[in-house]
Amino acid sequence: MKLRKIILTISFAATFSACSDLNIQPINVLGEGDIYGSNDGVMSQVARIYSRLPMEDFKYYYAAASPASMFNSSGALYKQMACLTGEAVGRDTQGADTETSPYWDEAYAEIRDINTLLENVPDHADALGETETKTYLAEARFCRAYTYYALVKRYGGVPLIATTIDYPASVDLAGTQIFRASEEAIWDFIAAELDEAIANLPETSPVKGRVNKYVAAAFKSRAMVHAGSIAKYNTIEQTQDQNGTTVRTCGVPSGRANDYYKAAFEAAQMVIAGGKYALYKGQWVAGDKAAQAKNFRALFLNETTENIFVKYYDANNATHSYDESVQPYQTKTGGNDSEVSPTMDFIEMFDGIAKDENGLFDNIDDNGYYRLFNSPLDAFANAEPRLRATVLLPMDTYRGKVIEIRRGIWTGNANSGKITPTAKEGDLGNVADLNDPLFSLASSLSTNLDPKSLVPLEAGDPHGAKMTPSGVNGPVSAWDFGNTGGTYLLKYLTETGPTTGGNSTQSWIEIRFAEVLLNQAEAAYELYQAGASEANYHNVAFTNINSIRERAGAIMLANEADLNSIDTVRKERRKELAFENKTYWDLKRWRIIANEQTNRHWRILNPFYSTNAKQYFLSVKYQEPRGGFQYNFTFDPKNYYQQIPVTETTKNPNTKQNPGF
Amino acid sequence: MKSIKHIVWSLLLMAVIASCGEDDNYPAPAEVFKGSIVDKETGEPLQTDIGPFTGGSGVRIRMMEYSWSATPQPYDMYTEMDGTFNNTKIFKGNYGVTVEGPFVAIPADTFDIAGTVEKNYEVEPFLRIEWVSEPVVNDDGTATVQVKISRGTANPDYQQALTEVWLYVSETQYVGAFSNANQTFSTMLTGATLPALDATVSITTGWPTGMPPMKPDAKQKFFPTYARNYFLRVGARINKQMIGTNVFNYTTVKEITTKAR
Repeated sequence: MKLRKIILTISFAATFSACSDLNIQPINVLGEGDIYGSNDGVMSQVARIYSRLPMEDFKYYYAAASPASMFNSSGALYKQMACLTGEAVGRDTQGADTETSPYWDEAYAEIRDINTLLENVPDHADALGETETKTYLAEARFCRAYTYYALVKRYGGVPLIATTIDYPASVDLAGTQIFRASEEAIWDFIAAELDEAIANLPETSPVKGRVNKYVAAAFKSRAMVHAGSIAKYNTIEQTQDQNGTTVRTCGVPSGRANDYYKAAFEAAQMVIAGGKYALYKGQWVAGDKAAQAKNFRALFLNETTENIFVKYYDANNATHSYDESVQPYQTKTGGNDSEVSPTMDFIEMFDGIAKDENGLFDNIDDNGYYRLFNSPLDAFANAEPRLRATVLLPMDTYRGKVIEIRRGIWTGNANSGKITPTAKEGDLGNVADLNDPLFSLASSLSTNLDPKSLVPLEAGDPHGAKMTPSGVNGPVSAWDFGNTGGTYLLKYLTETGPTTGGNSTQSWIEIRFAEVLLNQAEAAYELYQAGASEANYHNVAFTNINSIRERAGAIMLANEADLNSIDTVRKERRKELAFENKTYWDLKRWRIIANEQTNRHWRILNPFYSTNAKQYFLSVKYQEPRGGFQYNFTFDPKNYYQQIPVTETTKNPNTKQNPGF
Repeated sequence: MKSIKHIVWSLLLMAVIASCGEDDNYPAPAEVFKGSIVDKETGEPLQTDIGPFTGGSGVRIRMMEYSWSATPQPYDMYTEMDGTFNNTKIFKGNYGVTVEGPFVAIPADTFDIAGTVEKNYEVEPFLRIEWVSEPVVNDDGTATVQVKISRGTANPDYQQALTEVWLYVSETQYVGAFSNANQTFSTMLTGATLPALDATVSITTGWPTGMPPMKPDAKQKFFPTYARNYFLRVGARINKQMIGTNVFNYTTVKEITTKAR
């Protein structure tokens, strides 16, 4: 009781002394001064801006269910972008899909974040330090250019917001309904932002993963070559009457093409002249194809001088599910597999493989019989090292195992090595539709393992007395896990480490030196064709292509005159940057994807074993229908400019929808 | 805590009560907008696809109801294969109507729709494709047609090159690019296999992915060995996109019966 009285008296007294001005800041809420007044505070915002960059990396999932984000998606497991370009086929990519979730609200949230930083940091320059302030502002401009690039390559002209819009305090609702800027204005804005960034960023990144002057220049070469292709190859035009002014929201005046190509050329030149980056050749040995393949493969799994801008993953902070998506069935420890199987259309681009007069894989000899091989891999023995480093061919070795890919066993009479092509050779449809008793096929991976399915081999067969009809990985006739195209993807796959449960840790190389050389080669060749002569453009394109080919182990161009078509430059880009989520955007900006994909089926490899010949023959045909899917690809040209989300056109009626929607 | 629960519940109840009261007893839309698209020169109905589909579109009639807003959400409708349309569920109002398809762009029109409104649009198609003779059913499980493709307009903005010619074969009376997803007997002609304009052209069925030399390893597909009906139609497009996508001009539909063999 007494204690209570004492406490009451004390607290009574305390209240008097506590009567003070309550105009103090809350201590549990961070204010502007806390964030911007310290480098740690600013870095927390910078880190967030970086983490939300619209990068098409391992965690980019074009089929994210709207309105979920396509970026940093944990569900990037099934549909892979490489299966939209003809580079590969995939079980779950059944047609010419397009992005299913819009990138708009997310983009403008990121832009506002960046605008806020740009407006606030200069006020605290004293507390932060002059160099740090300069770097933050330049980084923010790089990120803003990066975000607008993601918008313009999808939608064309978009509202150009370079300051925070203070709604509702000083801006009314009508003031937020901003018109789309012209596409040209956005490309020019990106160039201006990157020029600012290049001028103010340091020579070397302050911390691994942050940008520097050369990252901005390399990215500028990519953005400007993209703008140049739109100016040159785009034929879609859309204008909007914006309060009396006509603005071209889709398309760029063709007269600007050379400006953009020159800007790309010079930006790339800056990276090259800086001398800090080079093509990785640490394990490369002249004339040694195996070493060259090893070198190319190592490029993607190590920190090298070729890496310019990398998104780092590691086991503690951020992981992805790349392995779980593309791994062979044979080496998986759980989860998904086999979503990317490089096509014969892709493989035929490479050197060192026997091809017929049409440039197609030569699996049939001049007498019209299948060529026979002890192993399917023998057909690729002399293949270009870059191919062997990118694609896992049937019976190649991965993680210490021979990756067994076999479509079936043929038990017919080989007539001393004269096997006539099957009825399904070069054809549509499933091999199982032949109902040919001479073909032993497995309908599923489980029936493949059934002892009753084992096919007896002839006496003296090196494989023993019996063999399963399909390889361990398949392919099988019906819808199942396992291989579908006869090959697996090897680029970015590691030899050790977890392959399941989203535990992959390979870092994503967003920009590497080879891309800078290719950007410059494309810009240079386009300028050469346009008759520009400020520099020896033809020679630069020739030199760059040959540098890339030399490192790749490909056949080099003998002399400048051999470089006589933009298609040579484009093909080199498709071979070098394959499976890096870049080819799709290249095909779109060159405006060729609609022509390539009209009722198109991709060609795949089906290895068969002949019991009588005791050798393999390789059948090439169109991707087999499974699960009712016909895998017929038709790209709708209306998707060159994607649909602006209807939620946006409703909120902001001044946003004109893209043509075709 | 208990009183908060009571407050929340009573607020919810009030909200529910407030929202019931307004039944949607408004009358259903019942105005009729019908009509046809015809070839200006021949007076024939314009042959087209039905609706939007992957890789193209038929004739789109975009209606903007300006009765309430200057920037409404568009209401799109599409025509039948012969260019006719009949929509009996239009709200009464003032509409801006734009008709787009495989023909020279025509200006938009604004008018009121009340009762029945009929509009017949005369257009210049990009291409005119005519049957030269009846389709011939061959003994080997194919069919051959003869058509003539010519330009339907002299307008200088629409003289782009012929890009794609198809002989569509369908199991139903719906034939065309819109209904061709997995048809195995259609024939695609592109690039080097494109026919010339203003000349009689023979096309045989069975090359759905293209034929040599465009697809050197393609195999011709033959009809099943029993007799059955198919519907044939020839379509073509020039390298000019309308409505942001590919648009095709067509012949009329012809039916054949294959031979048992």
